[in-house]
Amino acid sequence: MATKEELREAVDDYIQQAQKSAAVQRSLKSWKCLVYFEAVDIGYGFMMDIRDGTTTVTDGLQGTPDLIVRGSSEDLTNIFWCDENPASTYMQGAVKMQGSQEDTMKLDAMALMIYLEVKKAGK
Amino acid sequence: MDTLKKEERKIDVVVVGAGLAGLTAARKLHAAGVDVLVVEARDRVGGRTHTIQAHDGTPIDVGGQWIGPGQDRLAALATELDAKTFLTYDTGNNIEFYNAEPSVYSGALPMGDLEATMEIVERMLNLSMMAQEVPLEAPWTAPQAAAWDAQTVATWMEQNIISPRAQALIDLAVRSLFCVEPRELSLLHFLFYIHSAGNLNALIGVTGGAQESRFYEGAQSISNKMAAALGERVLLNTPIHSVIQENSSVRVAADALEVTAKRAILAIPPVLAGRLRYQPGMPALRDHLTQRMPMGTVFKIQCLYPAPFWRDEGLSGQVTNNDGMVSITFDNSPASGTPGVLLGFVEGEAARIWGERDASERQHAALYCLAGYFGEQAAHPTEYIEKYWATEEYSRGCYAGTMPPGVWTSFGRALREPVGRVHWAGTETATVWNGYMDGAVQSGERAAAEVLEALS
Repeated sequence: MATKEELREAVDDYIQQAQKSAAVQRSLKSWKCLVYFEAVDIGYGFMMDIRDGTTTVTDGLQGTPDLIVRGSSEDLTNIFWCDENPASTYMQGAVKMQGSQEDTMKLDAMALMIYLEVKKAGK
Repeated sequence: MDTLKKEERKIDVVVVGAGLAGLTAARKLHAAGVDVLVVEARDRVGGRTHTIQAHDGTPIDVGGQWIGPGQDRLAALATELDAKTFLTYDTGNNIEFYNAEPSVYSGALPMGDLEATMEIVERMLNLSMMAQEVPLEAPWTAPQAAAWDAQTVATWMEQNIISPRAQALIDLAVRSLFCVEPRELSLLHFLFYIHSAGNLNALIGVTGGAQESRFYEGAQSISNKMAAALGERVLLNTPIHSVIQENSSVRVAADALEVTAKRAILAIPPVLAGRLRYQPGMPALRDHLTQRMPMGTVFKIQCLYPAPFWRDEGLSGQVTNNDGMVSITFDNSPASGTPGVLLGFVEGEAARIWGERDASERQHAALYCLAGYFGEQAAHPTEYIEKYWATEEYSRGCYAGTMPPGVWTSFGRALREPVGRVHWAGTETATVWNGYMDGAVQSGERAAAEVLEALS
């Protein structure tokens, strides 16, 4: 189990990776999506507002998210630290997504691109 | 000269083809109280699904076999008919052979070359996003339809994919989905196909994708169950050769049978529909469409072993090879895990080449491939089963009719449009899961609805 602080730290690092990634910026530059992540085991959730290549995070559920991602605090933290292949985690059912197919596909691709870039950089 | 006396029958609706599409249509019509007759050329129902028994009785699907998430029509039909499914074995490592070099990976995409994988992820997203712009009911109306239908998938790849390894993987995906080469396929059709399934991941995935589950009794069991319920309303061994439309009826003729009906549903691939004789002739657009939708070329090879020995080595049974006869494999063992069954596909150009060789040479080469993937044990199956769909007279290839460049934009409007009293079904006419069993079911439901409306 990860703590709320650990999860937030991983998320902040992840956002920096996303903003550094040329592939993410190129592929998702016009994507607007409000994603709510919920770590179900610790009862903590946060909103990720992805808009025109920039991403901001705020605690709690605010507004109506386009996409909801639920998983354990550990799985989510591992994904944000790029310790786990997000596609595999999703396919294994450890993380569940709820929303339109288009948004799901884009978040999936974004997560995989960041994971691959981090792996490529040897981290 | 002897004149064969034909049996003559009068019916509300005649359905040609007892595959999933035709039987679904007939079932819907029968349920609505319509007098329906299905005529089938083969001595069996099921069309491009065909389940045979191995020597030990294991059901082996030599045709279509998988069902995945989002294939809701097939799932609902299977539930109604009590055709139960089990998950495809998808545990352990996969192997990618790239230019004869193996690399082992887990998950959906090979990780042997991260640069190439990055490019694949980005291009798969691009393709899936482009696909969203293709209207499923009318692909020719997509804003970029003309440009996309004027090029092949190979041309697009040359212009948009840098890494040869990424190119090889998309190449393999196209071959696996259509059984033709990327140079033969319209980009617009590829995009339509992706959209009809949702996205590219859904098409190529096992867990969470189109290859997720199989039927315990084999996929043909669904058609068998529908046919059993229709009873004498299904006639086998009745290849029809003519469709004659008159003022108030349509006549469908076989050598020894002539059926007069108010409406006809032709639930056969366009390429087979093009071989029939029509009176009056089909409109030029429709006729020319059926001249332009070639079927894919594929061998489906299955090898049985006492046990799935590759699982003990932590392998999933899934291999991709950009440069081999057997380009993709799966663990196709039954739910019990016994016997172990390896499934291999030989697709597109490779299938054409190997289709010219004799069966024993082909078997030797296929086993050589499998031994290269899984070790010497794979070269010694207890049973070897091979199905070459290109030589099936009443399919002429698999998995479905494909669209080369220019066909959607010039002839696509004629794909589903009824001609007089003749309606069209078959997976090629589906707007969702085109080319799949689910698409066949959707097309049967749609054709039945058209006919019911026309009869009302």
